[in-house]
Amino acid sequence: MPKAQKVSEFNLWADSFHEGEWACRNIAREIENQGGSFQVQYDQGFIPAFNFKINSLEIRVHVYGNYGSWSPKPKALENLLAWGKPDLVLINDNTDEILIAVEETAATPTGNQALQRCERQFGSAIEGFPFWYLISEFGLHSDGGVRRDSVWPSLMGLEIMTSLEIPSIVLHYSDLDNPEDYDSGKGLKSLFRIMMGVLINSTNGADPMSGLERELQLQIEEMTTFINLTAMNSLYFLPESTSTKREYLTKKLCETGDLRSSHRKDRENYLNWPLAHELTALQQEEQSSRELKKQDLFARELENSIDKGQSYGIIRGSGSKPQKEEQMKTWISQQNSLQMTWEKEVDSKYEEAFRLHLKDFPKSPTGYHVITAPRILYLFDEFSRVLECLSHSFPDLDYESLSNIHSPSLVYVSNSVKPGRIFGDPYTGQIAAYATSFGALSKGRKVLAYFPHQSVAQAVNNFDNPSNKGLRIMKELTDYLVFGGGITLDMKTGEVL
Amino acid sequence: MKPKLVSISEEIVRWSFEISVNQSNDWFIAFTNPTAGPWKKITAPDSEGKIGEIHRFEIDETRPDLILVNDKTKQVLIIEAKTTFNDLQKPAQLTKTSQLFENLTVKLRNISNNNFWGSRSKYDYSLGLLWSSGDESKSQVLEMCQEYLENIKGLTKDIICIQGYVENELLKSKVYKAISGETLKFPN
Repeated sequence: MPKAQKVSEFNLWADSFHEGEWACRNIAREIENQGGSFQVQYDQGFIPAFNFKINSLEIRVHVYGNYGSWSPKPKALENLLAWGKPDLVLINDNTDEILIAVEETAATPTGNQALQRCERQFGSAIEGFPFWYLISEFGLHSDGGVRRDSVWPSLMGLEIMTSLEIPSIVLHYSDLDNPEDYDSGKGLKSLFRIMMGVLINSTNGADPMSGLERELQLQIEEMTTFINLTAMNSLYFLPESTSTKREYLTKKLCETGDLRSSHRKDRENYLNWPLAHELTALQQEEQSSRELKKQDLFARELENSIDKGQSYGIIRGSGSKPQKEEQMKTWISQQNSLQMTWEKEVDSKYEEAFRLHLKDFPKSPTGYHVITAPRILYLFDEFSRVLECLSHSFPDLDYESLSNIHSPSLVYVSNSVKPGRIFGDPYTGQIAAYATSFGALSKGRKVLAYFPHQSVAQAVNNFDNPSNKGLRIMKELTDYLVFGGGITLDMKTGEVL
Repeated sequence: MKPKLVSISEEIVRWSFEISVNQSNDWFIAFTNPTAGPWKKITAPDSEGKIGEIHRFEIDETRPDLILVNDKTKQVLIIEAKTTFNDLQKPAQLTKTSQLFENLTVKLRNISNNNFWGSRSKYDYSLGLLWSSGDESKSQVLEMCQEYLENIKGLTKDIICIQGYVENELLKSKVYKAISGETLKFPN
């Protein structure tokens, strides 16, 4: 007698039909490698309907490209899309449960581009969905040179997996001799072996990651190898981690479901970043204050804290791209206008606490420099030291309510002048990557973001606006936002200090 | 839960048309431009059927939405796709698309030494406009195509229209030459 067939239906949602069909054909290749077969037809003349057969299983996958063209969407998908649109989302048709989300990029992102998709990686994790990010390790730059992927998505992924116990894997394809080539490197096939495994498990009624421990372990090992090879390109140093941690992590990930709320208190970090006073003599040698491009009292205090041994910088280099005069005039006028409108509605203690003037920005032949602090991140041993910096810089404001906080701290600085920009690319991705990578999910460090050229009014006016992705991420990952003039917003309460 | 199609976008009309092209024995897709993925280069088969790269677009370079080739009739179609007819009518779009067609046609006509393109540099190059059918009239379509033709005269004699439409819940495409009215056959 022939074995009874188990049949399951899945939907593969995709940003475009090409990506959805491309993914299914790669899954088909893996199915065929395992002795299975597949057929494809196009429902209504255009909806790819794949039928995979392997052992006694029949796995049907419909591809729905272009998210906006379809209704209704599963609630879980709607929630995920609010953080940004992943390229692929695999959903069980019976339960409407998201099995995995995938982001893939054709080119190696460089500079800030590398961080743009980190908000999707974070969004998927915080919504409780496994996430795979397939990215070219080596890419061709327009100058003819070859660039290597940034360390941040991988670093962030390991921290997400350790803290939230949900897969957040970064896979690489291509190699030095074949940049941007999908068929080189290990990532592509590994991704589709996981997707095939998840489909088979779900059809069998097993846990999605059951039996995939070895593949997952290899993926995590590739991530740690990549981090070890590339971290020093952008960081001063990388703390040690142990291989037993990787095995423990894999085991946890294969057992897990959505552990967002129940495990908040037990969250750990993958990497434990040292305090400033724990730095080795060699690491301390690289730490000393730098000159500011544009003068700013709080940025000056942050730099001085490095000389005092209260904090250290971790990211190497920070460029300054001058901004055009016409743009600067417009942005400054908009910021001041926003601030003045807000001042009319609040306590007089904030009056004229923040005004921008073009003359304060250093002029160069190509425009105006907006960089204040010469680095983007400061890791403080004690939050009270950050508070001292704030109090010295903005003596008219009262930060007393923060004086009972005793915790290490991370200070992030964005000098952007354009209104609203801090809530979009690449800043939200930066905050997601940096805050997560340095322990925000485990609540090991208080996170404070400083926007010297932005009016607090933008955050106050949008605090409860669910479509503002930037603020949603900041609510999850930051504790305080300090705006121009030192005006500080408590991100847990929405209160202006 | 299976969703229903609630709006026909440029992506969907283009994808549906690509499926028709892939089922055709005469035409092949040399380039398609979805939002992401490994599709950023023009490719074509050489005389032995081996597929190779013709041109790789830079990140900031303006790209068409589709390039189709027919080796039997010796035609190359460079296609701009938009969700609606109105989108194609906009003056800025007209300028951008005409410029793109001119630049790309010149480029492709000048690479006869590329092993994978070779004699295709001598083919007839036409501009194709693809959209989802709305309430536009025949005369409006003709008028718009004449405007495009005016911009690229000397490079091509006609504009190929590809109109996506739904019939009995099936998404299909009508393909015809705007000026001569001649229909081009693609599997539906």
